[in-house]
Amino acid sequence: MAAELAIRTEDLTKQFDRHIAVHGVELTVAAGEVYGLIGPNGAGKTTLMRMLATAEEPTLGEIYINGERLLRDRSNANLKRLLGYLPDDFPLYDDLTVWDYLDYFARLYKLNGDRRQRRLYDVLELVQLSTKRNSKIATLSRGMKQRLSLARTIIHEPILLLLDEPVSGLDPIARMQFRQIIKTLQEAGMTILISSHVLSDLAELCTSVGIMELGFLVESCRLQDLYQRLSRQQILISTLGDAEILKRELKTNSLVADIEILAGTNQVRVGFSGTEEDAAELLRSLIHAQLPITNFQCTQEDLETIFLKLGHQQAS
Amino acid sequence: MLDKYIDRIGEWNPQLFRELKSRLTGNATIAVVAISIVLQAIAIGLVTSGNMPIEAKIHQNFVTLSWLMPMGLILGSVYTLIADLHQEEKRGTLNFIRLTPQSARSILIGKMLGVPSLIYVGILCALPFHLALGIISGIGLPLILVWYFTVGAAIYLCSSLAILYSLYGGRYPLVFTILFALPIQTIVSLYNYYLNAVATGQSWTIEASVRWFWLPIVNNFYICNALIVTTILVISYWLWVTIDREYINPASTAFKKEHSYWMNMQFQLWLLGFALPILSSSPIDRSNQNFYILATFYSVGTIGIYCLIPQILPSKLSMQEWSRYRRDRVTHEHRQWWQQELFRDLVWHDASPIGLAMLINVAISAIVWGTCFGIFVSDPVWLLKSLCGIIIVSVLTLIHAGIINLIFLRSPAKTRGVMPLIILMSGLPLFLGFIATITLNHSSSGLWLFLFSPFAWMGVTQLALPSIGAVLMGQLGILAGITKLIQRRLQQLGRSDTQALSQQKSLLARTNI
Repeated sequence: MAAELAIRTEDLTKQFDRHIAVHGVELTVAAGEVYGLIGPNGAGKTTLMRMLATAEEPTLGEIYINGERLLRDRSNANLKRLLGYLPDDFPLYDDLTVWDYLDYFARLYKLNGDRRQRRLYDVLELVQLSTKRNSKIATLSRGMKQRLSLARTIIHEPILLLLDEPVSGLDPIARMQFRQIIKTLQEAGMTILISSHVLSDLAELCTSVGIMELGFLVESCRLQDLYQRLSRQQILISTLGDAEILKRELKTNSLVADIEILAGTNQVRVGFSGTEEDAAELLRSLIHAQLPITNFQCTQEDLETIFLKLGHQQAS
Repeated sequence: MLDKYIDRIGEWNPQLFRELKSRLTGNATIAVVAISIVLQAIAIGLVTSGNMPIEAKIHQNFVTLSWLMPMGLILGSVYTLIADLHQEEKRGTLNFIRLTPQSARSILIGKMLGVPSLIYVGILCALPFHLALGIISGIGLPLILVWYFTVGAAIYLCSSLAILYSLYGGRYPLVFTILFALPIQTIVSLYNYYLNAVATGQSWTIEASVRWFWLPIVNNFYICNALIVTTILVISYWLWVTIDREYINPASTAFKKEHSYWMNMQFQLWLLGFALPILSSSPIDRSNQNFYILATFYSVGTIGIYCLIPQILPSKLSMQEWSRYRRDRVTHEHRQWWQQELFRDLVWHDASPIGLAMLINVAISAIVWGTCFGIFVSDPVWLLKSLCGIIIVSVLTLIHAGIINLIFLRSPAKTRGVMPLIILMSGLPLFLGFIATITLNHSSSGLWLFLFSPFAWMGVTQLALPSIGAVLMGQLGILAGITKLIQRRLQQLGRSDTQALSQQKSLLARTNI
């Protein structure tokens, strides 16, 4: 069972002088998952990622990658081959060409001869930089540089990718391209741990999420479970008649949590804790009560709303 | 063609590949080779013109080149390495390289060979010319080859130092190189003067009878170079131990505690090699002279021990974490086990306080030199003074180490900055002692002050045994007090740390979703 876990941490703690950046984190990420790490600035996401990437030594606790313990002195040559880390800043050698840069890193990861050549072509193809292989890095756009950094991160075919804010500062098209690449990597079986402030991106990519606050991992579960547990369904109902009558009728349904008449309109927003079938039953009951319903629209709170809600609870 | 060779090198050392590829470009290489050849041509021109006899001119050119080549190589390597590594750190690119499975040695040797590669090419082009000049002026091929070997070892040592300086966050490559140039030029000049004296059979002004374990190191150029190269290689070995540790984890101590024991042992034995041949084995006038010789060497050995303090002193955070970890253990484990574990920790663990490790180091030194005192000093009074001297200096070293440990248990400052503090603590009593001795005639106050410096011997020889005993008792009291303070501070730190953690945890538990 343990072998199926790509990441496992035990009481992982990082202290900088008096400040505890990461606090007793017990994180488990199953192999093949895309795990999103959410949290406000200073929550400890980057420090956690850096420790997992062997870029930072934990003050306390243990890290297991693919079941193997990461040594405290960070001299794990074998484990380093399993990891690919893309930090939020991605310094590059501007004087090198795209090809030379990737070739250099492929050699650092001990890829030799033909295998290296093949891998370089494949990776350039994947990140859509084949046409730029002889261009100097200095001439690339930010989006291209970001993709080149990702190419460097995956050049040695790691089984675990650690991506820290990989789409920050990218325009919508570049973000879409980047998302697409990550989906391809996920399909190829890589385990991906990704942190991002663009929560809609995470919602689209992730299978599980962890929420960090004040250095603690306060929530860690499958995205589906999180939605079920914390995301409320909302129903927007429009009527040709009186909104107050509609409100009275809605109050009779036990699954309706709160009702708000939108000012100046004949619309009512309803907090609803039932399933889709329950919502259909509610609609049926309203029609049966002969209310002139013109619109009945079900929506669900997105990841951003859940996160803000959680964040608010924490702050208070 | 060049690319093909560079590519082949890349399979062996990717870092060297990267450096050569970006530096040894066609144009740059051609330019350097051309400059080297032009300079050699100018030198040949100087040889053939003028009134001086041609043999003298050739010899003069050889001497000049023998100075220029190592200076250029050493200073060029040092400058380019510091500038390059500083640039890498500034850009943050070195961090990526650190995450690859390449060892520190592979990356940094690649840097060492690759970054100054153009300088190497230029000097390599001048080597045949230098060799020819040497042979023509009658230096002899074996001597020149030995010279090359020693200079090569010196470049390796200096480049290693430059790398370590850079990893420690060293900046200002030009300033460092200029400061570095001063001692280097003296050493190179002295070494070349020695080569010249050996080759031409001139008298050597340094005491020719200097021996190392009875080996005639000054009279024999080959033995001398063997000792220099061996010493350089041993120093380089330890430099690379700390470079490895610094590269992998900049927060770690420069050396493990066990490293300090080995280094100290090697240093004391190396010193002993110089001391033994000059000790008098004659029973006449035996005690005084031998006592002073051994006391001097023991003091130098003590300075070596002082130098170990910043190398093994852990940061406040490490000691705090160690204390917390120990405190957790002590509450959960059987007492006897804790005591054994604590002892092992204090001897070996990187993050534990340095008291016991320093005690082991002063004991190593005391055993080495104490044995010599026992063998070579026969007078019982002087032997007793020797014993007192060893104990006083040892305890004083422990007191200084304890004070420094205590300071760094309070300050989060980097432990590498501790050297000025050590110099101040040990040097101030010595300085004041000298002032007092010079200004106050026949006053013993200067001698008393010496007892609080690593050169306590100067006081031991002059003061009466009861006075020395009183100082010793006082020192032991101070040491006990400092040890107690360290213990209490560690307990406080561990406790507060544990409390802070549990407070933060309970705060979060209260507000948890």
